[in-house]
Amino acid sequence: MDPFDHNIDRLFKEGATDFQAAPPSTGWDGLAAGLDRRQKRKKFFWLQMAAAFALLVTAFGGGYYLGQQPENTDLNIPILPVTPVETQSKIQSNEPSITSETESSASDPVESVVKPRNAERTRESQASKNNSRIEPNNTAETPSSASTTQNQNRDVVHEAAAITASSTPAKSTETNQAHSSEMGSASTESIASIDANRSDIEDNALNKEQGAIHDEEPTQEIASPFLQEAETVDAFSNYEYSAPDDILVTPAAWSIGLTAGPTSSFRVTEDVIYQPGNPNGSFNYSTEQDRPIQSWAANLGAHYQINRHWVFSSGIGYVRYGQEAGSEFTYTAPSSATGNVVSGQSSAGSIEVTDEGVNALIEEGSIVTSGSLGQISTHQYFDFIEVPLTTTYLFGRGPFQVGIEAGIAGNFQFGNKVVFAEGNTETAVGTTANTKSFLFTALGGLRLNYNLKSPIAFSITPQIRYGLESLSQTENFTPYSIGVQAGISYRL
Amino acid sequence: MSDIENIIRNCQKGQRKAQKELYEQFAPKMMGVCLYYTSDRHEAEDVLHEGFMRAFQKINQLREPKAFNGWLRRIFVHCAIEKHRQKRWTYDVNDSYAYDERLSYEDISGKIEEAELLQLVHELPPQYRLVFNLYAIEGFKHREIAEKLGISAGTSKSNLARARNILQQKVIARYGLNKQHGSI
Repeated sequence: MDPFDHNIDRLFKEGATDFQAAPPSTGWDGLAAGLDRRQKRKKFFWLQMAAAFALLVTAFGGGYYLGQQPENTDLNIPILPVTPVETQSKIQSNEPSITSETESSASDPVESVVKPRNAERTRESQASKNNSRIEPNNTAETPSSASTTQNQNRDVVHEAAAITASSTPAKSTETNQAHSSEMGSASTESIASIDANRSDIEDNALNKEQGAIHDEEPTQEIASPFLQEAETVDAFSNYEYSAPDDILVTPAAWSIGLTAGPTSSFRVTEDVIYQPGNPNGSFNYSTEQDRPIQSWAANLGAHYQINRHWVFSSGIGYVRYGQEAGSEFTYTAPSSATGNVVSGQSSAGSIEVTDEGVNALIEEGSIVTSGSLGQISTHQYFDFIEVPLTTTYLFGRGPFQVGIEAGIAGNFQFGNKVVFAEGNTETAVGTTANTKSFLFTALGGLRLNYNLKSPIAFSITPQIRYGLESLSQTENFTPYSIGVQAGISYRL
Repeated sequence: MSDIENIIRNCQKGQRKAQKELYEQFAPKMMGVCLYYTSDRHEAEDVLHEGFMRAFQKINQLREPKAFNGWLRRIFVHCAIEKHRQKRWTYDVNDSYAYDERLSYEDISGKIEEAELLQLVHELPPQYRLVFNLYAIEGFKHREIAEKLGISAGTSKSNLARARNILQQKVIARYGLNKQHGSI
C-alpha cells in the first residue's frame, strides 16, 4: 500500500471511529411508534393469513362436502295409502328364496301407510330386515292366539330359509301355491305351513271382528318404498309424485364469463420525500395526503357450479394497484439547483425517476430551477396479471341469486410506473424500485347473478382485494383495492 | 453480566424499556456513522431510524452480546448502503481532481477536527465517499465492496483512488498544508 494512502486512510479512520453526533430529539419517539406499528402489522398479518386459510378451508371443504350429497334428501313425500294385504304366505322350496313372515301375519289386513322417505327411515327398515333374518323368532311375537302347530310350522319355515321377512311380496296364498307348484318342490311341511298360516289369518280376521285383538286399527309402515319392491309397486301405483322445482335445476355445469369494472386502489402512505440528485440543488418536499388511485380490473373466468349453491371459479385477469402520494406537492428550488436526477422515497419503495422523465417535466415546466411550483401529485401504478381461485356460495332460487365470494389470487407484476400528475395531465417520470414480481392477494365480496335468458347470465360483483404480503422488498406496503365488476357468463 | 449485556438480553425479550436504553446509549455513535455515509443530516436520521428498527428486529439473532458493537455498526453501514443503492446517485467524474501531492500523517493529525473531517468526506461524490468509507474505515476488501455496491472491483479501486486524491487536495487547500517530510 502506498504510505500516503495509508496516512489519509488512517486520518479518517481515527476521526470516524469515535465520532459521535446528537441524534434527533424525537428519534426515540419515532422509533417507538415504528416498533409499535411493526408489531401490529405482524399480528395483523398472521391474523389475515389465519382468516384467509380458515375461509378457504371452510369454503372448499364445505363445497366438496355438499357436492357429495344428493341434491335433495327431503322429498317430503306425503303419506300414501297402500293396497291392503289380503293374505300372508310362506313359500318354501328346496332353495328357498322368499319367505313371507310379517308382523301383519297376526294383524288385520287393513290399510297400510307409507311414511315419508328419508335416510333414517331407510336405516330403520334395513335394521328391521336384518333383525328378521337373524332372529326369526321375533316374528313369532304375534299377538295372535296361534296354535302350537302353527308355531312349529313357522319354525320350520325359518329354519329352512328366512330371508326377507318384511319385504314379502303381497301376493295371495293361491299365487304362492301356484308358484310352489310350478317349482315342483313344495314339501308336505310347506303345504302344512301354508294351511296353518291361512288358518291363522282367518282366526285373526275373526278376532278383529270381535274386537279381541286390537283396540286400535294397526298400520303397516313400509319404511323404504324405494327398496322394498313389492310394496313399492303397491304403494306407488296410485301415487303422483311432483318433485320440487329446484331438484331438477342446477346440475353441475361449467360456464365461462367475462367481467370488468372500476376499482379504487389505495394505501395510506407515509410521507413521500424527494431529493435532488445534485448536491447543489435543494428541493426537498414531503406530503402527507394520500388518495386512492382510480383504476379498473377485468377477468376472464371459468366457473364450475357443482350444485345450486356452490360455484368454484378460476381464470385470468388484470388488476392495477397504486397510490396517489402528494396531493399538495410543492416544490421550491433555489437558482443553484441544477440537478437533473430526482429520487424519492415512498411507503411503496424507492422511486427512481429517469432522466427522460425529468427532462419531460422540465420541458413542460413542471420542474424549474428556481421559484416554486404547486399542486403536483405523484401517482404510483402497479399492474398485475391476476390468477384468482375463488369459491362462491349462492343464495336464493329463480333467476336472481345473491352470493358470497372468497378466494385467493396469484398476481404477476408486468407494469410499474410513477407519474407526476397536474390535473388530468400525467407525465411518466420513472418507476418504483424494489417491488416484488409476484404477490398473493385475498379476494372477497358479493356476487349478484341474474339469469337474463338461458344460458346467459348477468353478474355484478362488488369486490375487495387485499395483499397478503408487502409489495415492496424493502418497505411494508400492502396494496388493496375496492371495486365493482360487471359482466356476463355463458353456461356451457 | 455487564449492563449492556443485560440490556441486550432484555431487548431480545422485546422489552421496550431496554430498547430505549439501548437507543440512548448507542444513538449518538450510530448517528456519527450515519453522517459519514449520507449526504445530509436528514438522510442520516432516516438511516438511523431504519438501522435501529432493523437492529431490534434482528437482535434475537445476536448470539454473542460482546460482539454487539461491531454487529450494530455493520447493520447501520448496510442500511446506508441500501439507501445509496435505492437512490442510485449519478454524478460527473471530474478527472481534474487527480493530484500527486502527498501528505504525511504528522502533517495533518491533530490539526483537523472530527467535524471538519466529516465535512471533507461529505464533499466527496456519494459513491466515492461510500467506497472510501467502506475501505478505509470499515476495512472491507475491494471484492466485498464491489459485491455490496453492485460494481466491479476495478471500479471500487478507481473510486477509492479518486476519493483519496480529492481528500488530499481539499486538505491541502483548506489547511494550507504542504508536501513535507518526504513521507512518501
